[in-house]
Amino acid sequence: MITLAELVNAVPLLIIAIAAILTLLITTFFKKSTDVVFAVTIISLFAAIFFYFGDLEKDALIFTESLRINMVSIMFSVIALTAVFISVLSAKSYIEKEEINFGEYYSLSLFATLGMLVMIHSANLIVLFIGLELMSICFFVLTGFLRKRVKSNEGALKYFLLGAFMTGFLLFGISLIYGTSGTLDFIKMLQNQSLVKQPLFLIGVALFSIGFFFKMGIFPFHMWVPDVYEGAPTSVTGLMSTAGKIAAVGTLAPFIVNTNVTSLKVIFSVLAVLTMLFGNVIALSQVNIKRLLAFSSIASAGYILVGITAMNEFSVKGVAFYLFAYTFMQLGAFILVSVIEKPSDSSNDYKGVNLDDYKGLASKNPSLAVLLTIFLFSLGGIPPFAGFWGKYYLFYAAIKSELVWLSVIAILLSIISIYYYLKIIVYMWFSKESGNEVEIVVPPFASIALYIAAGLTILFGLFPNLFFVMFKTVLK
Amino acid sequence: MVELNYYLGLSSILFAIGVIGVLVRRNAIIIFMSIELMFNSINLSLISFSSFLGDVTGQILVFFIIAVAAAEAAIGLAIIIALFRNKGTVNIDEINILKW
Amino acid sequence: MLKIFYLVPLLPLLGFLINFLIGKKINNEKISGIISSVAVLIPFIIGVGVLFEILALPPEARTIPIHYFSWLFTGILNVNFAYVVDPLSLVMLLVVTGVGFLIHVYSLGYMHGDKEYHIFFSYMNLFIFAMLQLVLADNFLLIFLGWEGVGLCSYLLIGFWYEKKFTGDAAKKAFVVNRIGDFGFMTAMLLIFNNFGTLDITHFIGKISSGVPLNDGLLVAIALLLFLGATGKSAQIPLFVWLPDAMAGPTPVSALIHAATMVTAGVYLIARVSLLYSLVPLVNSIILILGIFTALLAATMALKQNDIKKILAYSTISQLGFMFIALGVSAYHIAVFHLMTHAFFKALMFLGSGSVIHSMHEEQDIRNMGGLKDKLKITYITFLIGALAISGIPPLSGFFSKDEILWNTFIGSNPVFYIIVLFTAMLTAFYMFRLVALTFFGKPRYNTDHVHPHESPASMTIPLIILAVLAAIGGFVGLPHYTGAVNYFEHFLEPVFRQASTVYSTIHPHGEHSITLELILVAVSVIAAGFAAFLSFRLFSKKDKFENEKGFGKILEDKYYIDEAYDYAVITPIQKTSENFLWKIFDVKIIDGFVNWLAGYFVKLSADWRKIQTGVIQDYTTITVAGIVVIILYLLFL
Repeated sequence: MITLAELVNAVPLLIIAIAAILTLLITTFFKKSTDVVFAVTIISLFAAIFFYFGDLEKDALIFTESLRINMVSIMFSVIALTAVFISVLSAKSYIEKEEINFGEYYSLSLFATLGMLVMIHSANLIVLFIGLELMSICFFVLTGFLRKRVKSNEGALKYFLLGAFMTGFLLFGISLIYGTSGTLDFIKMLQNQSLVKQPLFLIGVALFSIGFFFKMGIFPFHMWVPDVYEGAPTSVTGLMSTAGKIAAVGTLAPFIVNTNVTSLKVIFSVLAVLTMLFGNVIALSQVNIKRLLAFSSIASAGYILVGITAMNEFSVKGVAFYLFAYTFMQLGAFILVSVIEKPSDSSNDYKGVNLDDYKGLASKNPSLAVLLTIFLFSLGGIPPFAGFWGKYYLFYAAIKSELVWLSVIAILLSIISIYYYLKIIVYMWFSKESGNEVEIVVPPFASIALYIAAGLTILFGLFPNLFFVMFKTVLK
Repeated sequence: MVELNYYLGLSSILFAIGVIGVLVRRNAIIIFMSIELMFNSINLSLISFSSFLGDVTGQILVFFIIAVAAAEAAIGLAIIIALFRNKGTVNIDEINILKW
Repeated sequence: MLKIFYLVPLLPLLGFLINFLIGKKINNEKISGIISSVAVLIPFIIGVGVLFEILALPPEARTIPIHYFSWLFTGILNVNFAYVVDPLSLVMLLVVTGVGFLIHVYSLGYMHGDKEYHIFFSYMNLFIFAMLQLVLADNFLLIFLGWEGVGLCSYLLIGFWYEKKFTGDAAKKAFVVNRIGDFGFMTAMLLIFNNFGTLDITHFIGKISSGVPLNDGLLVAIALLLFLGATGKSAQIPLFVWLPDAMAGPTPVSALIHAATMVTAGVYLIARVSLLYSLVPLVNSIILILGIFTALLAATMALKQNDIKKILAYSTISQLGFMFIALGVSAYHIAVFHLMTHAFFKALMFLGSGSVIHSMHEEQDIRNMGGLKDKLKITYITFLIGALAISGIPPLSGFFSKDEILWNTFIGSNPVFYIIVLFTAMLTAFYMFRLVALTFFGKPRYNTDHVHPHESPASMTIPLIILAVLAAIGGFVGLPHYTGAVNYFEHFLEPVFRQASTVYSTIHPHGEHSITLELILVAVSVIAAGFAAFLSFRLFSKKDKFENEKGFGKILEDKYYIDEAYDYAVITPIQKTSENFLWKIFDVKIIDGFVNWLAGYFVKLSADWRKIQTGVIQDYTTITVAGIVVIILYLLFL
C-alpha cells in the first residue's frame, strides 16, 4: 500500500509528473496557449525545488522500495532541477525566434526532468532503466525539434541510433549484474561483498557504467556529443549538456563509488585521461561555438570522471559541486549562444554560431561580452569563479585517493582549455567587428536567466562553502 | 531440462548478430532493427536468469524493456521519416553534414 | 585604526563597483577619478595610523591577526577569511596604497580625454583591491585569489587600448605565461594542504618551525613550486618574456603594476614564507643563480633598446633579479628594502617617461627625442633623481638598498657572484644614463615644426615631485651598519624574519667582517657606478646620428682612446650579443619560440584528431564497440 507519508516524500516528483501531463493536455486542447504552458512549467519547476527544501525525510525508501529519498539524491535532483529551470526560462525567446514555439517543447522538457528525477532517486535497476529511457526519449525528440532543419534531423537520428545501441549494452550489463547477484536492488547488491570478486559481475558493472559514460560523453563513447550538440536547437543543447549530464552522474556516482574496485579504478582513470586529452585538444581547432562547447563539455566529463575515480567520501561532494558550478557556467554560455544566434530563415542552417560572429562583441553589446567572459573564465577554472572550486574539489578527491599523477595530468590538460576559451575572449574584446551587423536584442527572460547564472557563478566562486551549508540544512 | 548456458549462449549469439548488424548495415531502419534484436536477446537472457534464480523481478524488467522498445520504435521511425522528408535518403553514409 | 581596518580592502572594491557599474551614467571624468583616488588614499591613511599603533607595541607583539569570518568550511578544507597585520604586510600595504594613490592622481591628468576613463579607474581600483588581498592575507588560498586577481587586472589593463591589435597579443601573452607560474603555485598549495593539513600560513610556518631536516624533499618541492609561481609573476628567468610586451598598456599601468607593485608579488611571497626557504639552502642557491642571471641578462638587453618604456621594463626585470639575489642569500629585509626603494624610483621613472611620451605626442623612441631638459624641467629633474637613485649614487635611496645587496652577496656567496652583480650594477648605471642623455640632452631630433613639447599638468607633475623626494630620501630609513646609525627598517622587519635568520645563521656561521672591507667595497661600487654613468653620459649626450653603427665608433675614436677601447672591448660585443643573441635569439627564438611551438603543436594535433569525428554513425559505433571490447578483455584477462 502507498501511504500518505510516501506521497509526501514524493511531492517534488509528483509535481513534475502532473505538470508534464497537464502541459501536454493544455497544448492538445487549446491552440496558442504556449504562454500559459510556459508559466505552468516555470511554476512547477520552482515549486519542485521549493519542496525539496521542505520537510522531506532524511533517508527513506518509498513506493515498495523502488525510490530512494536521501541526502545525495536530493542534492543531485535540486541541481538538475535548477539546470532545467534556468534552461527553460531562457528557451522561451529562443523557440519563438526559431519559430518552433509549441507547448510540446515544455511538456517534453518536463517529462525529461521527471525521467531524471526518477533515475536519480531510483533504488533498483528497473526504475533506473525507466527513468533513463524517459529522459533519453524526450531528448531524442527535443534534438529533432527543429524538424525542418536537416542538421536537427541528423543530430536526432545520430543521438537516437547511438543512444538505443548503447542502451543495448547497458541492458546487457544489467542482465549480467542480475544473473550474478540475483537481484536488481542496489542496496542488496552492495551488501554482498563477495560479488566484486566475480569477473562477470565486474563486466556487468563496467557495461552499466559505459551506458552512463555514453550519456556523460566519456571517450570513446563521446562520439555523438559534438554532432548532437551542434545539430540540436541551442536551448536543447544547453539542457542536455547540463541536466542530462547531472542526471547521469547523479545516478552513477553514488553507486559506483561504493564498489571501490581497483580494476575499475584503472579503467576509469585511463578513460578520464583520454577524455580530457581528446576533448581539450579537438576543441582547439573548432570554429563553431556550439561544437567548441561540446568538446569542452567532453573535457568536463573527464574532470568529473577524475573525481569519480577517486571513489572516496569526497568524490560525491566534489562531483556535486562541480556539476552545480558547471550548470551555471555551461548553461550561461549556451544561453548566450542562443541569444546571439540569428533568427531562422529559409537557408536551413544555424546562423551566427561561428566564432567569427563573436568578433567585436564587446563593442556591440558590452554586457553580453562581460557575461560570456565570466562564464568562460569559470569554465577555464580561473578563480574567483565557481568553476575553479569545482575543479579544486574534484582533483582534491583524487589526491586523497593517492591519485596525484591523475590530478597533475588533469591540471596540465585543463591548461590547454585556457587557450580556446581565451581565443573567444580575445575575439570579443580585441577583434574588429566583421561587417555591418544588426543590433543584438536580449529578450527579458533570457537576460534574467543569464544574470542568475552569472550571479551564482560569482557567488559560489566567492563563497563555495554556501553550497555545502545549503544541503546540510535541507537534510537536517 | 535445458541448462542455463544454452539460453545464455543463444542470447549472446543473437546479441552479437545485432551488434554486427549495427556495424555493417547502411540503412537506418535496418540498423534500428538490429538494435531491436539486441534488446530481444537481452530479454531472453533476463528471462532465463529469472527462471533459474527463481526470482520474478527479471521478468518484470523484460516487460518494461518491451514497452520502452515500442516507444523507441515510434520515436525512431518518426525521426527517420522527418529526415527522409528533408533529405530524401536513409542511407547512413550520406547523413554526415555534422562532422569534425 | 585597527578597528576600521576592514575599510582598507573594502574601499577600493567599492570604488571599483561604483566606477564600473555607474561610471558611464556619472559621465564625469573628475568625479570618477576623485572617487577612485580617494578610495586608495583612505586605506593609505589607515595604514599610516596602524603603523603608529604597531610602533607603540613591543616588537614581539607586532603581528596582529585579524579574523573576519569563516570563508570555506567544508570538512575537506577550512579557510578563514583572515588578514595578518605585521611589519612586512604593513610595508607592502603602505607601498601599494601610497604609490598607488600617487599613480591614481597622475592618471587623472594622463588619461584625460580617454573615452573609457571610468573603466580605466575601475580596473585600477580592482587591482589595488586584489593586491591588498595578496599582501594582507594569512592564507595561501586567499593569497592565490589576490594573485589571480592582480593577474586578471594586469590582463585587462594591458589590453585597455584594445583597438590596437598588438595590445591584445601582449595581454594574451602575459596571461598565458602567468598561468605556467600559477600551475606551480597551485601544485604547491595542494602539496602543502595534503601534507600539513592546512593552508594558513601561520599554521604552516608553525608546523615546519621545529624538527624538520634541512633540504627535506617535500619542502624542496614546495619551495621550488612556489618559486616557479614567483618567477611568473615577478618576471624572472624563464618566465620573464611577458613583461616587456606588457608595456603596450597605458603608462600609469606600467608604473603601478609592472614596476611598483604586482611584479614584486613573487618577492613578497618568498619573504612571507622565509622560514620555509631558510630550511632549503638548495633552493636558495637556485634562486640566487637565477636572480643573478636574470639581473645580468635583462641589464644587457636594456643596453640596446630604443623604446623608452622597453628600457625601463628590462630595467625592472633586472632590478627584480637583484631582489631575488637578496632572497637567495637569505637577506630578506634587504629584498623588501630594495622592493620599497625600487617602487619609488621605478614608478617615478615610468611616470616621468609617461610625461615625456605625453608631451611628445605618443612618441616612444628615444632616438627621436633629445634636448628635452629645457622644455620639461620638472620631468627632467625628477627623472634624473630616479636615474641617480637606480644607479646607486649616494645618498639616494637606491644606493643604500643596492649596496646592501652587493655586500650580502659578497659575504653570503662567493666573490665571482659578487663581481657579476657589481658588473650588472654598472650596466644599470650605463643604460640608465644612456636613456637620460638621449632623452633630455643633445639637440632635438624630433620635428620641431610639428611637435612642441610642453610640461605636463600639475596633476602629473606633483606625483612626480613627491616620488622624487621619496626616491631621494627613502633610503635613510635603512642606513647601513658602518654609518653607526640605527637601521630602523631592519629593526622594524626583524620580528618577521627572526626565525629564518636564526636558522640561516646556524647553517652559515660567519664571523664578523671588518668595517674597512665593507667601506672599501662600497667605495668600489660607487666609483664603478659613477664611472659607468659618466661614460654613458659622455657617449650619448651629444649623439644625434643613429643610422650607422660604425660611425658611432669613429666619432669616439677622435676624442678618447679609452672610450674607444672600452667600446670595442666591452660595449660593442655586449651590445651585439644583446641584440643578436640574447634578444633576437634567446628571447624571441628560444623562449617565445617554445611557447609558440607548443601552441602550434597542439593546434596541429587538434586538426588531425578532429578527423576522427567523421560524422558517419558506423564509424562511431565501431569505435564504441572497440572501446567496450578492450575494457571487457582487460577485465577478463588482467
